[in-house]
Amino acid sequence: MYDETEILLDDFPKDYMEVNFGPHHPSTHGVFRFIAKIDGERIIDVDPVIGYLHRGIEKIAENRTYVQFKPLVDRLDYTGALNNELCYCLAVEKLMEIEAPPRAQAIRVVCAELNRIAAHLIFFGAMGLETGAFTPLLFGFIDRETILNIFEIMAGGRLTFNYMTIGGVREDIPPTVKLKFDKFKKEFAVKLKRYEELITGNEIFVNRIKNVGILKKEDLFNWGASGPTLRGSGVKFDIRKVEPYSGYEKYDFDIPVGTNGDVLDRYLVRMEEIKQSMRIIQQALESMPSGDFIAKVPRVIKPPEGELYYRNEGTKGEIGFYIVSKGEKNPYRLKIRTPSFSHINMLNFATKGNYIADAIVILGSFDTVMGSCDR
Amino acid sequence: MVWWSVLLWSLLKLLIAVMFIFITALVLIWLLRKVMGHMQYRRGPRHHGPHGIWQTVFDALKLLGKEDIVPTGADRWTFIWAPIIIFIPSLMAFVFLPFAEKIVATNIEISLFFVLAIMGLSIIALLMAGWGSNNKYALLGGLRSAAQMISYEIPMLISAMGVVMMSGSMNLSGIVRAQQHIWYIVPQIVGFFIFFSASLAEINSTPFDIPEAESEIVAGFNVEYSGFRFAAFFLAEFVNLFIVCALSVLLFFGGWLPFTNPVYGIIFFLVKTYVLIFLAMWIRSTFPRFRIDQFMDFGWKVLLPLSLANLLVTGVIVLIVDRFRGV
Amino acid sequence: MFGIGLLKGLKTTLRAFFSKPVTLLYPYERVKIGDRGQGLIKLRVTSLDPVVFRCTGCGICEKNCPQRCITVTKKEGEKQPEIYTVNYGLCMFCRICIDICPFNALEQTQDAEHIGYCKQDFIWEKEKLAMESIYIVEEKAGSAGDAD
Repeated sequence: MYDETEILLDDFPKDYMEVNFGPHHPSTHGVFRFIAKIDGERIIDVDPVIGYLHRGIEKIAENRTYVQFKPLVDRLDYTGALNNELCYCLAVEKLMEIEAPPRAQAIRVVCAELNRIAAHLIFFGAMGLETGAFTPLLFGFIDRETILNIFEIMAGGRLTFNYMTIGGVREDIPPTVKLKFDKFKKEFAVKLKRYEELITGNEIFVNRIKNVGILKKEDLFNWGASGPTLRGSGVKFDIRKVEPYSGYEKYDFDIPVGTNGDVLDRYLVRMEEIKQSMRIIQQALESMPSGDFIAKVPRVIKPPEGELYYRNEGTKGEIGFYIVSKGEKNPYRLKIRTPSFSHINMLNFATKGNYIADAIVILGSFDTVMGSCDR
Repeated sequence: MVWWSVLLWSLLKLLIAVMFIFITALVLIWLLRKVMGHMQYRRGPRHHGPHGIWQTVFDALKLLGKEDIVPTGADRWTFIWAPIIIFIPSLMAFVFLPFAEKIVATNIEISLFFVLAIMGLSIIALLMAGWGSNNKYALLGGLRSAAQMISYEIPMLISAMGVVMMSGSMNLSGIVRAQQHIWYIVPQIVGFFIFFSASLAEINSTPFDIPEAESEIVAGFNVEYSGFRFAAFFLAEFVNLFIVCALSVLLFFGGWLPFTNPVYGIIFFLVKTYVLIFLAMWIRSTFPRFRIDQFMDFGWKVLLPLSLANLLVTGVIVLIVDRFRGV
Repeated sequence: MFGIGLLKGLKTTLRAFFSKPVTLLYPYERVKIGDRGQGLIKLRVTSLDPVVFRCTGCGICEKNCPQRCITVTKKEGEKQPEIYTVNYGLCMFCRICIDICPFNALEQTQDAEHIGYCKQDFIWEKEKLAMESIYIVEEKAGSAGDAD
């Protein structure tokens, strides 16, 4: 496929049609625009345009204290908000050399993994919508509803929480969480089987996404991919295993890895990750130690002078916070590294020579969130 | 004074046909929303009227009140006439459908041939809509739909020929009468599968709805239409769905048999048609759509050889049976 | 065989067709929000007639709000705030003010349904913040607050 287009470009100078897939579009996840040069049905070049959701979060951070900034971190990757909070709280705790007590660490793991399941359910629904089936979207959201109800009892919110604090969590979890999770686990096992029947076993769907958008390891390393996008091409790299944080080394879970690097592998990796997350939550809830849920933290948070880069495994990939502090109440500079920014820039080389329909499916498989890309 | 009574009678039949078409389109749109809703664990419309049956009426009235926009640079003549032309094949095909024994608006000897030929005219309307909109999305959608409709006409026609060979006539009432012993679904099951898939592709319904693929080219050829012109395209799609399901029932499921009484015949015919319509809506809410090259492959490499094989086998068997009976 | 997966998918949707829908008929039926649900933040009172707030007007919540939506003033020597306004058009319900108040004078309610026609409607004064909610929420045994 690559070779054919190269020959065409060299021998016959042509005029390609430019189509604008504008910010208002039913299937670019959020406000995202890309300008495609197409030749009939094949794509020659893609030029992504981002910035429609830019809110200046990194600049706002310079005028707020560490505690005041924490609610804004939720709004980065709003589908999996607790993972962002976890990364920020761990980064500031490492600067201040505080460690959260074991009970708080277990609660944080439960929150982060539940949020991972919720975010992957959105991916499942959006994947169905990209290929043209309307039903999986609603099935995904119906199951997400149960998870959001668990969050409402635990943290108070459904989409943005402000639940974790520097040093632990804000409140203890009520005992009904374990009962609700057991009930959810039983129902969800049945539902997952139905999802396999509806979408994963459907031949039309599999033919749409098999051997489409194959990405090789070397290209992914060059463009800074991470998360399930990277694991779909056979690289067994998960920050929860390489640099464990918040007690992940105590739990027993596997990392699913794909073989080919096409869209089907990335889809199957995420579906398998849902099952592994259920395992982690089960272990964390069973073995939750008793004790404090917040450490002794000074009244005013003023980290000592220094700088730090801390990363963790978000739902879409690697989230990183680079904090420079000069010993004052506000951070001097706070830079956020998000996975969606790197993945969207991969769109050009990943979709060269494919059909338009495939380009939309490939963009869906990267699973980008514009709040995370534009900050 | 016979000519004016014939004229009056024909006008009355035409009026009944048009009324029936519009009411059917409204009922079908409501039915689609309800069926798709219940398949997704939710209810459809339920506010206006019991179970929301007046919802489509209010939607159509709302669309009537919208502003009439013709985009700048659009080809005015093609843009304005496309939604009118799309209704013509549906209306014309409708007057030839028999609903019961002797209940048909116009009865000619080759009514099946005429209906299938007329259905092919809707390609022109889609091409006009795609070209006249002065929009790249619409052009892509129009071209895709033209390619799709042309490729799927042929398997549809050839699979209908199997039925014609078995029944010996091209008249739709005659085909139904020939199914008195056994409905043609039993010997012609492959033919039914081909005919149904090809006709779903003709009316742009999922999994073949590439011309109006919402996630890629945002409604394809009707992206620039607003107000009642958009309603015309929307209604025409559902009228075509009814016609295609009615044709399938007449050809394969025995029409109004076993009731020869007109009233029971009409009711049973409508029941069977609505069962097939439910099947089409069920497929619509479950499957994703094909990609353009995959579904050209499906049309030319799978359906066409299958339909030719079906024709061959049917022809051989009919010849043997006739020779056996000494006809 | 080619079509088996397609038929299984059809079976799933047919099962969904004959099941009970999971939606609620809003606004006739509502879901009960749990105890920790994020709603409006109101001032605690020790007595309603005359209105005596726990708040002393120290202004710590005003300094710590990330969105700068609270305005507090007080007269010299008094123990009650003179002006206390919250701009709910800006508030993001982060609850920092509740955590940081030294007198426990703020409370989070589950009252989350309010409308307004202009920006002024969302600026709540001291008296309104002490009153009960305008809408009485009828509870349907639903999801969040149940102890299963």
